[in-house]
Amino acid sequence: MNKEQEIAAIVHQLRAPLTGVRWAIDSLVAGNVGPISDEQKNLLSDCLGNIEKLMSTIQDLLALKDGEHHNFEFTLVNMADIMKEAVKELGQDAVRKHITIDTTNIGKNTLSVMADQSKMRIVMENLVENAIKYTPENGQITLSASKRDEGFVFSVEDTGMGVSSESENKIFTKFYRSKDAIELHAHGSGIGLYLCQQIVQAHGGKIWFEPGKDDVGTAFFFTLPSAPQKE
Amino acid sequence: MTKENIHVFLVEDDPLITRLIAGEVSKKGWTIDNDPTGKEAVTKMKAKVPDIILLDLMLPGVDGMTILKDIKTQPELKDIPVLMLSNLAEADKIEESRNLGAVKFLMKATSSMSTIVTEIEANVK
Repeated sequence: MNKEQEIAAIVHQLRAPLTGVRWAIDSLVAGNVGPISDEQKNLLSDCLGNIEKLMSTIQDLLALKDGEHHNFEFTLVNMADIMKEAVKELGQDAVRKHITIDTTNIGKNTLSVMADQSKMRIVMENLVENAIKYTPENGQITLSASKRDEGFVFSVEDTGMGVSSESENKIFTKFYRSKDAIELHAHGSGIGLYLCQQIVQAHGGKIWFEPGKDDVGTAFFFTLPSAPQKE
Repeated sequence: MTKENIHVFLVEDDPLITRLIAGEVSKKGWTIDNDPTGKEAVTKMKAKVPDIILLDLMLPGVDGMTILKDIKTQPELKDIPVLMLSNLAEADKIEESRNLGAVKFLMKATSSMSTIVTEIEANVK
């Protein structure tokens, strides 16, 4: 077993017992094994929330292993689909906070890049998930894509809390979490944006952020070279 | 056979997961057999042919992929739909199981009990 297979096996061993616990709590919350009080239900729901966070950290660690080892499989990928899928995947979290996600700027054209599809999903899901996490209720998130030079620029803009000047130079650092982010969401691995940077750079692109429109919120951008045209 | 009377065979070593799936299956009025190590799975399946097989990958006795290959060489089992159920959902494992004839690969960490029930109903012939 090589080192990567060993890590995958460890991740499996971490996830396996958690899965059973999550399903069991799910079952209790649903009242499948008898009625429970509201207080019991709330406590169990909190446990479930913590399990989801742990699962998500384990998933990040697995992705980190792939990202740092540049373990990619390049195929022709339509980034428009990846962006829309990320919104579909995380849309319920936005609905719960009454946040509107605007995808009209992605357009209807195919945005073809040579990329590792699963890693591009990680990038988009991280950016959209962060935008939802740090945007207050009734906010707005806008996903855009445009052609520039030899490639594309993709962006996720929110009306959230923005990035403090103190964090500007550290936000893509592994395990870094800003004070504001910790205050708003105590749990988080600090891996997401570092991983996004690793993945985007390994695809020949760059990632950065700017203040959002009228200095409200943040806009994250990343570039990718477009796929070579067939002769 | 109607979908009210499904016989499930589960190859799973985690007793908690086995208990939860068995509970859910029983609630639907279906029946279930289980082999926790995988070593006797194919023998047990041949003795009482199931309508669908739920197969874990990492088992103490034998690799799930080996069991899948074995199932597909048995005339009485080869047409029974196999749902892979594992947390080892790496792209190569998913592809290998599809190539070997599994109908679906469900990642435990992102699935729920209701997903499993829905997939059983959807895939039983």
